[in-house]
Amino acid sequence: MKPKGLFSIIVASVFGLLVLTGYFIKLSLLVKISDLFLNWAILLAAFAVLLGIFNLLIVHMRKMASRQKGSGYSLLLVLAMLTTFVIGVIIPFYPKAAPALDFVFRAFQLPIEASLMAILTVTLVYSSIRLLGRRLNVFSIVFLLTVLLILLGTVSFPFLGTLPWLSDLIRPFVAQVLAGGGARGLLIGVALGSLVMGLRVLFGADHPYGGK
Amino acid sequence: MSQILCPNCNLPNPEGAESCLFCGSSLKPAEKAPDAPIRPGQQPTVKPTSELDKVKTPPITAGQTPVPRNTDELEQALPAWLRSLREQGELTGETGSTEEAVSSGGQPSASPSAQESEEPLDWLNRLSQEEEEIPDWIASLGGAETPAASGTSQPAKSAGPFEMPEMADSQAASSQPAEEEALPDWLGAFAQSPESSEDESAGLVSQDETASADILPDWLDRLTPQAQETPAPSEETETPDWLSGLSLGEEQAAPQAAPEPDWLFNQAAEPAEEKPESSSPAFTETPDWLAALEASAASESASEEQSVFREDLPVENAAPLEIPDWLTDFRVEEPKASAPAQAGEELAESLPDWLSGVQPTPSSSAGSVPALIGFEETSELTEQPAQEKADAFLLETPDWLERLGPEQTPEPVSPPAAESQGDESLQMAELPSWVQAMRPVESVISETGATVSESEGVVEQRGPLAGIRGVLPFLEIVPGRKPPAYSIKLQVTEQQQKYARLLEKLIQDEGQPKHIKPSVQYSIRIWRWIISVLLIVSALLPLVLGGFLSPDLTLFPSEWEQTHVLLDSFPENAAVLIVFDYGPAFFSELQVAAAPVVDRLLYRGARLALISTSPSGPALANQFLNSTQASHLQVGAQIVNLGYLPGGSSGVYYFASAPREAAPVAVDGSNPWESAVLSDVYQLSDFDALVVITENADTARAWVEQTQSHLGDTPVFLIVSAQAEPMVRPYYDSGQVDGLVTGLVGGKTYEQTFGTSGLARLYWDSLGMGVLAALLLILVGGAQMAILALREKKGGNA
Amino acid sequence: MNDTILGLLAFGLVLLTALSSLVLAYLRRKSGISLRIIPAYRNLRRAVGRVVEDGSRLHLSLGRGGLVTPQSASSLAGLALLRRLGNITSITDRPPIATCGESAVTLLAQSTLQRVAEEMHLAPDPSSARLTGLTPFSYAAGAIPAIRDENVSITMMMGNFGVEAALLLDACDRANVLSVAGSDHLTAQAVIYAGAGEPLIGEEVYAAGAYLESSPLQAASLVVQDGLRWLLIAILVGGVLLKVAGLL
Repeated sequence: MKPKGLFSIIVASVFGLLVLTGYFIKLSLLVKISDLFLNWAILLAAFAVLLGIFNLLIVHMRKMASRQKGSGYSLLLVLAMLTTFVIGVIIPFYPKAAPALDFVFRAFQLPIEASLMAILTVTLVYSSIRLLGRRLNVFSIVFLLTVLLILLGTVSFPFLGTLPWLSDLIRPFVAQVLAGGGARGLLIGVALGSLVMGLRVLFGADHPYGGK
Repeated sequence: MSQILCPNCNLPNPEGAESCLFCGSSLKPAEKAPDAPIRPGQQPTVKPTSELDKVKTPPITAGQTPVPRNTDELEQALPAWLRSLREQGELTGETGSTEEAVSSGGQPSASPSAQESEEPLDWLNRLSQEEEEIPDWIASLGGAETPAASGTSQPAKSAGPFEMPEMADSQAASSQPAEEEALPDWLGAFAQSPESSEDESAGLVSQDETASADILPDWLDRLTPQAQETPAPSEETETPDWLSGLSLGEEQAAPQAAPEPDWLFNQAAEPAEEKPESSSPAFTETPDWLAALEASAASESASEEQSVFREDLPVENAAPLEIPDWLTDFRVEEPKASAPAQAGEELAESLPDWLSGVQPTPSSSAGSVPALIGFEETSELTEQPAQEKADAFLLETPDWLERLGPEQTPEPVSPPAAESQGDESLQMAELPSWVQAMRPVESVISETGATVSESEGVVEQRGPLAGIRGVLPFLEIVPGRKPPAYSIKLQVTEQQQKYARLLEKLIQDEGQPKHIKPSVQYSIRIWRWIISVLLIVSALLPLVLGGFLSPDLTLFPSEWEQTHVLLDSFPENAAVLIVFDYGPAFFSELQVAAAPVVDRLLYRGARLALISTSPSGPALANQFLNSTQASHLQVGAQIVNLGYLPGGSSGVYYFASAPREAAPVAVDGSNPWESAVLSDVYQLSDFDALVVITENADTARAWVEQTQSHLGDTPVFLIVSAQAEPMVRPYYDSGQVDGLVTGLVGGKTYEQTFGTSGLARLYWDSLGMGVLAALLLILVGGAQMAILALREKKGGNA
Repeated sequence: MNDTILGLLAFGLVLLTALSSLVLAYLRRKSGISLRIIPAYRNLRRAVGRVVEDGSRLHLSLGRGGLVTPQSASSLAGLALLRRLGNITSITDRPPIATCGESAVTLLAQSTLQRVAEEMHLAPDPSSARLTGLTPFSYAAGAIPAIRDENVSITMMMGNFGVEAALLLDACDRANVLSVAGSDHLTAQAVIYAGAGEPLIGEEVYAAGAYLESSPLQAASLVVQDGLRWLLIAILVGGVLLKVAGLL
């Protein structure tokens, strides 16, 4: 292993152990140290947002320069980004520019995201339809039946209203007991996996911040 | 240009050469060899013919016509044994035995025949009469009439006995009357009659020294020193008479009354047309003059077959040669055969005295091939009389050859039947000395029989080693075990062909596109369009139709009562922290869910502090207030926007522990903690309520968990999307959350409770219709997909 | 119960987990640990091989989870998988790409791919790891062109996703791209189960390292995780019984 990778592993392990210990053991020194490291992490995360935006800009500019497929959309993205950025920067110096930012948000971002949500609805329905064709087994049938029950017990149908027994008994039982219990088990497993994953990072078995 | 004849091979060499260009033997006159006979294993002493040059005449050169000479001059050139034979024949009158003098260097063992002395050797005359192509070595003889030529052309001339190795192997065919002028003197005595019978002993030429010394070669000249005069060469031909007589014997072959010596006959029964198929070991090809002798011999009767040589001597495909008349006089009968015995008696009577002592050698057994073609084989070899050993010349019969008898000859290798049939008429010929010199040592050794073992005595009859003794036997291929013949053609079995065809078909099929049976393909895009259209129609239809299609809620959620009561229990001008942690996509749903609650709070005079851990949260907050609370909203007096709180859960924890430090500046850049809204708030517990609006259960959990220890008794309200409700309900059920409002249903519920009509009522019918449409689509589409999958599964299994 | 005691208990649990993982990894370092078959990882191995063979591209989406949030574990798992698959597929004509919805994770992804390129002696591509959006749906909308236009044959979704995962999965389905997805979010898991080609449910997301890298420590951590699960089951069942019995 190269010295550079070994140094990264050592730093990650030491800082992680200190923060972990400070989270569980309420010693003043440990708490202060862990808080300090967390603040550093927050600063880095905030700065990473800017770096991410810059990376996004570079990627689309390279795409435009190489005239790849979809470079026109990249141009729109870059223009929109720069416009929004400029407006947001000058607002403190020129408060009258604030409605412009609201306009951009209200006219572009909200509709686009809402449309994506609508597309998601169609996609989810389509995926539900193809589920049995893709994976025909008991679990898929149970999955679809659960979906139908939840849908039937959630809303009030035109001219029918809410369906008795489904809305007040079956749906709450399925959603809160069965689905909730399964979800709780999945969450526990995810939590354990997260715990073990974190320990592997501390021990250096997984070091996503370097190569071999 | 004068040339020197090699005494060994008799090939011309340039004058002055010291060694022969062909055989390498020395051309210098050899020392006078002792008279001792040649022993087995010994190489005969090669003597140049210049020793025989007794006649001081220059040798004949090419182009010159040999001068006939008196053969008496060649008396001295004759070997001692021949002279002795003559003397004996003259004295005793005994018939001569098989003349071996014709063989190579053989000591003459035959006593001269008295008859021979009386009658000149006609065969010499016949030899001289025959005209044929003269070999070069003969033509090179300058002025000397060869005995053969003189014998052939001038049969009347008598010449002294002399050794003519070449002539001895051939059958004299000199039936032509030889011209007396061509014969040397010494041969003229022999050639007295133009025709000589076969019964005449084919002895040597009488010692007629009247033969011309000019014609004779040097060695002949030395043999006959008395011959001073060389007979004039025959004008007809340059060939010596005796030699020409031999070559023309085929045409002038005359029946011989007297039996011919065996040694002069070699397969006499064979027709003249027979030609030797394979040459003897000594010779690779038969000279022309020798071939003529064979032809003349073949025309003669082939009744008797007497071999001059031993039976073991390999003679392959010996063809009958024409025996000159002078040689036929010296024919020796076969002692074993009765007829040859009779002939032998007659022959003995006709043989000259000097040949009478020569015993015929036993005829070769069936299959034996004489060493030289056309030579007669002597049936028996006798020892040379001591008195006849005048000169250790090549013409003397070697002692080992004399001692050999029929019983000593080993069984020769039987040649093939065809050859054996032909070999029956062949006689073992007596090889001249120079021929014997060329023979392999092994064959010479085998003749002695002393050191040669029986196995080594086998003479190879076939192959390239034919005639050589002591070689490994030629292995016969075992009959029936024919070596496998491998055909160059590819041998492919039927099964291999079948496999090859199959492989070829497979390869061809790979290049050909397979026709795939078209299956029913359901377009995926059409389902998308169907779903989209149905959902849009179901959502818009209530808006278009107007009115209320769906009845109000009759059943409220379980958390409604507690939430409702708690919201009404807030004091006036309460400080409420509202967290807007949802995305723009969920703006519509959460706007509907949160609007009644926020409206109720504002109705109760609460001071609102807005904050978000999402970058778009502050904008969403403003948008929410402007869209739902614009009628009674007073920004600045009741509402302050604290902006974006970075760090996620850590940020929440930090804000919960120190809100003034975590959010020091508002969105508009002012200090919110000095405004009327938050002037009395220093810590989180100073807030009267915490309302978290989020679509993400994790965000809700984080706010609940991180602020729990800092809130104190401040109630927490969660306004969540329907998707997050199952995850956050445990918190409500556990008491960690005091109020819960879930999605559009919650908003409708609180609108109904507070008696207001807002977006919830507007969206309520569209929600019902949309959910119903989705329900139907999932039912119908799902069933169809299930049926198709089952069919495909059954079709695959089938 | 006192917070300090609870904290100590939690810290002890963490310490026990760590020590158990180390000890088990040391004891089974030669014999190895047999794991149950997860079809998604098995098919992923084959699919990665096809990527190498046909020269297509691997796309890895790391979600929108940050590094300072509880959802950072799934992001870290995604980064580890990116490193592992990057080593395998960087030799192809089209190196892998990573799309992220969070800035810090994007920087880490860039660092990982850059290090992989350096080890493979290749020129690093700054655009191989990219931030496609700061909001969930904008992130999904920005990642769809990468799936559609860059000759992707496999899309791995490993991280913190929400319902926007359905958009990515639909894009994969349209482009005939194999999708292997997993998230720590429950809603996303439901969507992934319905729409992904190879779904990963629950903590299977964190098992990628053990199934693809076969490291002793990773396999041992999975065994310890299962042990802790049984321990929690026992505690839950015990607590219920005690509650029912009135003792608690």
